[in-house]
Amino acid sequence: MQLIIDIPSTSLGDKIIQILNAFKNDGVKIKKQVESQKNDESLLTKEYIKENWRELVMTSGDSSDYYKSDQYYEDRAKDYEERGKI
Amino acid sequence: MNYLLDVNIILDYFNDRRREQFKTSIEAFNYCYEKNENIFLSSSSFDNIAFLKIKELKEEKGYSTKKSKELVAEIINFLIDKFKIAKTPSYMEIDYEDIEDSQIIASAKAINAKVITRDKGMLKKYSNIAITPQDFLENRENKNNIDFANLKKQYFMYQPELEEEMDKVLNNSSYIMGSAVKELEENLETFTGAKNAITCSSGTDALLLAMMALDIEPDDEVITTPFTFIATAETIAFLGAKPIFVDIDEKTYNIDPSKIEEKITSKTKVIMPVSLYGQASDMEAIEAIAKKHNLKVIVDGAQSFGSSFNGVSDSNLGDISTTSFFPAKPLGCFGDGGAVFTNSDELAQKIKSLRVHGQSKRYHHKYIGMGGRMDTLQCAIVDVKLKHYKKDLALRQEVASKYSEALKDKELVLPFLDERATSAFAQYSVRVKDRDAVQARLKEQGIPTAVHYPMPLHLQECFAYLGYKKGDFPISEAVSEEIMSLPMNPYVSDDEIEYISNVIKG
Repeated sequence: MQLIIDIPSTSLGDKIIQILNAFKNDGVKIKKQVESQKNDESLLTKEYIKENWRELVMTSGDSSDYYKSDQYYEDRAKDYEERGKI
Repeated sequence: MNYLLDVNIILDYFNDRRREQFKTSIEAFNYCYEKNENIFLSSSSFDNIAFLKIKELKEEKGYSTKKSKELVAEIINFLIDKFKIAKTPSYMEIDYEDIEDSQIIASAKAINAKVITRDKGMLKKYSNIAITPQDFLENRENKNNIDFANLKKQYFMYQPELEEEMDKVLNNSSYIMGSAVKELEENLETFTGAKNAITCSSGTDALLLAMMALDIEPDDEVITTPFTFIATAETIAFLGAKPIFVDIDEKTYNIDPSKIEEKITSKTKVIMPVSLYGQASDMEAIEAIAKKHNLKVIVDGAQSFGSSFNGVSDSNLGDISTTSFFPAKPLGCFGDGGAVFTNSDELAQKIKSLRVHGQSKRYHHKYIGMGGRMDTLQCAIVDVKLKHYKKDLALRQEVASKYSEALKDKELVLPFLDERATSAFAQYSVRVKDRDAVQARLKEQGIPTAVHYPMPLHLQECFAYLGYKKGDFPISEAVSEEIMSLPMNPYVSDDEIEYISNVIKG
C-alpha cells in the first residue's frame, strides 16, 4: 500500500518522517518527499487556514539574533518602502 | 498583579525550535493563556509581531506575502482574544537606543504591570518592571487573594470601551453637561422605565435634591430607617428637617411598614424607605400608608439600581427614587455620582434646576439650589457600564444564590429575599453570632469582609439631639451587632465561594 499525505509545515513533516522511520525494519519506506505544496497555496483556503492556522504558522528558524539587529532595521525600512509608507 | 508579555515570548510560542530552547517562555505563556486575566500585550507590539512572523513564513515556508498576512492575522486574532491590550501612553520616556522597549515599558506602567521578557537589555535597563519567564513562574500568585468589590477586574474587562468614551470627553472638553450626560439619562430612563432620570453629583446629593424638590423644610418630619448609611438621615437633618426612625423588619433589614403609621404626625411629609443591600422595602405597604396619609415617598435606592419590586424597577418606585454611582455600588463610576428618578415632569424640571443652583436660565435663579451636576466623564463611564449591567446584575444574583447554597447549613442567618422582589445584591450580608472572631479568621485566610453597618443611626453622636437611646430600635441594634458582608461582585468564582464557605465553617 502506498500513502500520499499533505503536510502543511516542515517542522511537522520532520516529526512525521521521524515516526515513519521507526518502522523501517518493518519494511516501511519513504519513497519520495515532494515539496509540492511549498509554493502551491491553492489548498490554503480561508476555511483551511481557520482550522489549521496553528500548525501552518509554526516555524523553526532561529531568528532570535535577527530581532533588533541592524539587518532587522534595514528590513523594516525596506518593508516600509515596499508598502509605500515612506 | 498585571503582566504584559513581550514580543519575544509571543514569538517563542509560535516557533518549534524556540519552544524547545526556551521552555520557561512556553510555560509562562501557557499559564497566562489558561489564567486568562490580567495578562496584556502592548498595543505597540502587534506591528513587530506581524512583521517578524510574516518574514519567517515567507522565508522558511515560501508563502506569499498575502498568504503570510492571512496566517499572521490568525495569530493576532488569537492574541487579542486571549489577552488584553494595554495602550501606549503619551507619557512614555523615549529611549532612543530602543524605542520599542520604551513603548512596551510605558504600556506596562499605564496598567501597573510587570513585563515578562527574555530581552536581556530590557531586563537590565528596567529591572524594576521587567522579569524573566522564570521569575514570573516562581513568583506568580497562587495563594487565595480575594477581592471584596473587584473594581480592577471590572475596569480591565471594559477597558477598551471605557478608554474610548473617556477619550471622547477629554477631546471635546465638555466636562460639564456634555453630551454624555443626556445620553446616560436617556439610557437610564430606558433601563428603569422611569419617565425622567436626572444625574447628579452623588447618591447623597440625589437625596438632597429629591427632598428639596418636595420643599422639605425645617421642622418637617421624614420617616426612615435607622439601619442604613448616614447619608439617608444626614440629608434630612441637613435641610433642618427631623429624621423619625422606625425599626426594621428582622428578615429583610428594611423599614418595617407595620411600625410606620404610629410615627406619623401632622409634621410628617415624607416616608423614605431604603432598599438596603439591593432589595426594595415592602413598597406595597409603604405606598398604601403614604396614600392614606397624603405623604410623599422617596426611595433611597443607593444600593439597589437594577432591582425590582412586583416587576417594577426600584428606580421607578415612590414619588421619587434615587441611586448612587459610588464606585463600589453595583453600577459605579470612577468617583462620585448619582441619579434621581421620577415620573413627574414637574418634579423633574425642578430637580434639574436645583442641581444647577436653582437656575431657570443662565444667571437667573428661581430656587436656592446647589452645584449638584454629575460631570460628563463620570456619565460616560457609567454609560459604558450600563450597557453590560444586565449581565453583571445576573452574575451578582448568581453569586448570591451560590453563596446561599454553600452556606445553608452553617450557623448563619442568610439574606432573605421577598418573593415580590429581586435584589441587586450590592452586598451579600449574613448575620453571625461571633462576628469579630469570624471576621478575624476570614482576614487571616485572605478573605476581606465589611460591616454594613456597625452602629444604627439613632445611636450616632451627631443625632444625640434627637433624644433616642439604646433599646429604642432593638432589631436594628441586634442586626448591627451581627451583620457581616462577604466579598460580593460579579466575578466571585465557585472556588472562592467554596473556600470562603469552608473558612466560615472553621
